[in-house]
Amino acid sequence: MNDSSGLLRDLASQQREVWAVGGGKGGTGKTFLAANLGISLAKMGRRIILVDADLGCANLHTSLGVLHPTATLSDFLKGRVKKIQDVVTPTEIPNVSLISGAQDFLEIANPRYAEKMRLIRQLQDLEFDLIILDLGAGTSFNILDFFLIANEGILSVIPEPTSIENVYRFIKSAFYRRFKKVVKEPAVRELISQAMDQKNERGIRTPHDLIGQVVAIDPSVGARLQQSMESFAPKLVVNQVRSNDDITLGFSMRSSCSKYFGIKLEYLGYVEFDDCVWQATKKKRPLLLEYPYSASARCLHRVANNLVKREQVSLFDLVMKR
Amino acid sequence: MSSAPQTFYELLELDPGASKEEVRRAFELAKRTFAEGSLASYSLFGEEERKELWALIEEAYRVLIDDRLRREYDRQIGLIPSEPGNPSGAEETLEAATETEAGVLSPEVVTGKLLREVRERRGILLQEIARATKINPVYLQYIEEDNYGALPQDVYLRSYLGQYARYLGIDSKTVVEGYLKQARGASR
Repeated sequence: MNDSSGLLRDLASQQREVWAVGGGKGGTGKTFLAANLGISLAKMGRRIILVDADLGCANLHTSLGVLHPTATLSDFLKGRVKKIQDVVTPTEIPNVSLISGAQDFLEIANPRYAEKMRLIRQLQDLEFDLIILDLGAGTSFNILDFFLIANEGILSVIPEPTSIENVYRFIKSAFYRRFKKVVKEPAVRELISQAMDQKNERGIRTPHDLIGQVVAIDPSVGARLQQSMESFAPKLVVNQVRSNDDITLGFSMRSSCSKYFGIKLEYLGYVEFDDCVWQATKKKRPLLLEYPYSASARCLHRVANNLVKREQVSLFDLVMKR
Repeated sequence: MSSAPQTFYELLELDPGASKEEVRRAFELAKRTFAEGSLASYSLFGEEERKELWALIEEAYRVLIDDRLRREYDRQIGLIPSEPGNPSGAEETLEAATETEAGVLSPEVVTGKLLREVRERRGILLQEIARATKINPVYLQYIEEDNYGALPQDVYLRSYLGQYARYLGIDSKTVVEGYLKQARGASR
């Protein structure tokens, strides 16, 4: 997502990129993906800071083998420490550091939008090349905001109906949240609020329907929303694939999103279902350290490589390999 | 559904210069994506919407896989200029009417010979169909030779004919019904 929300556009160009991993449903491998992508990128020589932005249900530290983090994001959000540097925890992995998630209840760790922006700015001032945010499950404003603030938004899906439905719901929610951020006009904001209700009386089902109605109210705002929609390009990783059909799901979701939402979902790659993953998890060790030559580890390196090179999986290459 | 009007290329997510192989793969993907109950699309599209979209995709494939129809279509959407002296492409349209395309195929005329004609016109090799459908090429050859005595039982033949027709991008129902009718008539 090249400047997915436009919210970072005005910040200095040399500032570090922020990538966020989300996906709606719990158990689809968001934390696994964030941790191992971070390690893969670190192996390429980049200095990575992994941030557990799963406020209320944090466990990224366990995935990285850090069992008892001393300082957490909550200490920073609640002002117990002034500088973000003070909550950075080193890991055993070269070039990888961690900011552990809040260990409080969700309602306590519920930062306002300005606080989230302050957090991102401070993260960008740290001496790292890349910031990776591990988002929690669901479509709360906190999660959507972090996803939209990021330069790249990565969605993790598993080939199951519930996970796929949740990814679509996530995309739609992120969309409308993004629209609200770029629109000030009260009438249009009200229309967006109505559109978020799937059974709204105005018959708005998709962002296209919404833009159509906004154009009728104010063509210039409609054009702004259209532009916002066209620059929204989240990336997709299909996790736990067991067959070629599962791999093809990524292309099918991309195609469905294009036809239904009118957005460009980018298919970044897939990770094979692999017993090594749960074995590493049980050992509280990152997969890429514990089983660096496993099938799933190879897949993760390919995904990381695609991210860096800004490439996608090619349908043509995939079919040729069969 | 996205309300923006789309060309057949956009519908199949292809570049205008896409090869036949790319057109076929795009169609295969569309089949998986928009088939009834598909994991990727069931929660977004209602049944009517899905059927409508699928009909458009089939039409796009039928046109883009056929050299002549594709050329005609490219002219219509301004991808290539009209031929000098034939601005409307009228001669080609006349030619189209005399050809055994999906639109004029009827159960009365479906024979192996005609199917082969359509296949060759589309530049598709028999081996290619065998590879994609996993049907024994010998059976495909028997179908095209109208060698009814050597063909498998109806239940298999129906499936083979359907897959063959879909690969060519022609109406599978007409092909299956027409061919079986011819075969039964010949064995009487």
